[in-house]
Amino acid sequence: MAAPELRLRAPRPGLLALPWERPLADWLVPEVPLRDIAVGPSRHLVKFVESDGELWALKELPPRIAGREYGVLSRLEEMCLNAVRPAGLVFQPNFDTAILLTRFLVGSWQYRRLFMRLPPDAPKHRARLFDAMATLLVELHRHGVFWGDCSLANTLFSRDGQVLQAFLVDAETSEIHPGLSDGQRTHDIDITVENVAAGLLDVAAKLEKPELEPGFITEALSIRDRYERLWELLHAEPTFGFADRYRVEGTIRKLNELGFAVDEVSMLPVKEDPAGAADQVRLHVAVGDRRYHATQLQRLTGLDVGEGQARILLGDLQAYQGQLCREAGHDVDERTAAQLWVMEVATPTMHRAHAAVGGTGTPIQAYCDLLEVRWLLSEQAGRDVGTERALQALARRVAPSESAAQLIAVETPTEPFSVLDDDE
Amino acid sequence: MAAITMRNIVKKYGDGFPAVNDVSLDIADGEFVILVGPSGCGKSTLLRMIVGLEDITSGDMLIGDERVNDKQPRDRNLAMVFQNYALYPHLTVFENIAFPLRLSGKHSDEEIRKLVTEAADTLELGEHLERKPANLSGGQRQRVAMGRAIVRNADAFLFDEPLSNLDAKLRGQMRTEILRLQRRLGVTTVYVTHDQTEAMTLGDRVAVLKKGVLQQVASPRELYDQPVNLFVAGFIGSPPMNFVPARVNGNEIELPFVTVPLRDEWRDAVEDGKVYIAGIRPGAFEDAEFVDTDKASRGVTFDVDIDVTEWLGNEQYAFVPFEATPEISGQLAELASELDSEQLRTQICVELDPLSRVRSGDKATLWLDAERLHLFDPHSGDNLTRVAHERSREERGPESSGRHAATTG
Repeated sequence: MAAPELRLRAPRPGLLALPWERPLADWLVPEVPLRDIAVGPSRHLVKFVESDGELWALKELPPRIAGREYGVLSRLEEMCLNAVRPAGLVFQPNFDTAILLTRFLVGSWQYRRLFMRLPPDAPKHRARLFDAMATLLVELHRHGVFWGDCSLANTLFSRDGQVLQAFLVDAETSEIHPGLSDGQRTHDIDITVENVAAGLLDVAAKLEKPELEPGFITEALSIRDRYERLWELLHAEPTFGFADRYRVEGTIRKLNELGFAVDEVSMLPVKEDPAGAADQVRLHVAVGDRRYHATQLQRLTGLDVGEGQARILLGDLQAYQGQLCREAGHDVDERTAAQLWVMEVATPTMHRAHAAVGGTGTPIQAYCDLLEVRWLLSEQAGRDVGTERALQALARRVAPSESAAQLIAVETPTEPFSVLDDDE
Repeated sequence: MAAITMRNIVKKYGDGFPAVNDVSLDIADGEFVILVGPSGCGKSTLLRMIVGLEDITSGDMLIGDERVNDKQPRDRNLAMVFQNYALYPHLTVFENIAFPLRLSGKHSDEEIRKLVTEAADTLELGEHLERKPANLSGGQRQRVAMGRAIVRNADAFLFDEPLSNLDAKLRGQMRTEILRLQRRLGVTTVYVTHDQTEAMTLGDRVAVLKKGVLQQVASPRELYDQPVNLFVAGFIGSPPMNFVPARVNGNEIELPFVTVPLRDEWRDAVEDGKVYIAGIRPGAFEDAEFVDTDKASRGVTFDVDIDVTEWLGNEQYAFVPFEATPEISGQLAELASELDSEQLRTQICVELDPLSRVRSGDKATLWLDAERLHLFDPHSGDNLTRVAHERSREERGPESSGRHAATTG
């Protein structure tokens, strides 16, 4: 009987004590602290273990595939791409199999919650879902990652301000190349569109609402456009006269607004057209991380939050700085305003907002929801309704229809680590 | 359906390293061809160039009569089978097969019904169309996933290591299903695997690649019996072919444990006094006690010390260490690394009758079939004693017209 070969990146005592010498199928409660989490059908056996104060996902698969997936996930982590993080790899030579251990993504949820907990006909919420998936695909492709099996079921979502972040969960079919060909990218999108369409049709069948089908198919097809728009924007190489180089600024601003930092801008003379204007240049922008606002907020306040959240918080900070300047009758510098904002506005209000939603999600996200609700209610009322009104609305869960704040519903765990079934 | 023709296909990456180097291969309409080799041999890259997932550096890729080098994957009308075989629990078998057609928006409901029904009949799923996947057996579920590829009416099926993430039992089942389907539909099929057993059981012809270069394209039997070089000889067959030093001495070949007569037809290929590498399949040996008298004269008998035996019920193997010069050992070690193998140590593996009483540590008398031996050039690795097959009709793919050709660069 050969001992299993263990590789753990998080050598916690609880993890070490798990019965690695036995096949995953034989792991049973109460001996092993297993937790039931609905993940939908999977081709491999998946179990969740709560150990050392964290939740871990374990997947049994052939050793070769497990080793490959572990490698791919490790590379994704190095590249800071949205994906589950690998935590260990265990080979069990006696059963010719392996167990891949990943860290459960805190605060993440599966697409089915969105459909089961919110009215099924909410295209704006679904648009957030598909934007997140298209963005994830673009990010993976830009880093040479071919997913090969992007689907609703293979993606986890988490809230980030008014948008969603998507995370790759299953990398069994993924490959990492120095760069992707157009064929590879198109193929990956084709697979995604087909998988998402089928996933949506499955939801319509489950809800017994066949009338949703045509809309669902159109929405699945829209992922391609969402992807292409973003890809084009990141890879456009416009040409213009050297005298018009002020246009560079507009391009950079557009990228920044979408959250992308710009690492380098180069303008190269256009040579291939001798008949053309002599001073033509082609702009090439090396696009960096998608944490433009997050980096800025962190620099000013020390807060480390998602890009979508940072965007909202920076807006709030700027409004506050404006107010300070008016009250003081002179300029208040950014740094001072930021410090005051954290102490006097953000920290106390975020805790009140978090309490108002019953501690669901994170305080930061609760604060972002509060700002959104306040803005939407004010827009309806034609005047600023103020924080208290917004807090009340948030506490009573009367967020305006299809506002991002409604998504609190998907964040609420049914019960912490309770048994979730397909019909949650 | 269509033939697939590759002419001098080259794939170079940014660093100039050719992942696929001057591969020419004709796949006839309806033929089942396997691309096989150890990891890094270029087989998946080649498949991806057929599908359109990799740009082709140079050469021509033809599907039917059309050059497709610059076509998008979805315009090539090929079906990648099992790239995803997720079944959707709330959709019926019918809908699980039909949804790619619905998505394409090119078919009326009536056409979809016809295509799905036909595919289901081919796959013997006709009675189960209204069922949900949960009510199907494992094999039936796999067939539903195949149905999705069939309804596309693709010109060819492509498989990229489709069984590698399945457990052993399901792998066996699927292999049978794939073979049955391919025979039934007669659709041109290219199948990539690193598993030589899969390659040998599935393909009409098998193309063996090493470091981006095509080594040999032939029927499984020809690859096994008449490999072109040491690499193919070592890659095909399990347990692998034994390689031992062989010195030609007049009318004889001296092996580490026995001397065999030099056959007349080999005289022109070898030089007297030189050392070659002899390749002998484990099955060319036998416990001398179990050799019929009419067969015995074809071979030679000799005594050896048995190191270890492995009895597997219906087969039995014995391992016999031998001495080799540093030069030959070095050659064999290099070959082992090329093959991703750890098995080619300086011992031979001998297949014995399962009833043989020979046990570990015994001195045993073995018999070797002197006709089943190949001599390889120790430097080039070429098989010097290969007899090119005039392939019989049944060994070829269906409807093959003898226009298969393979050249290596």
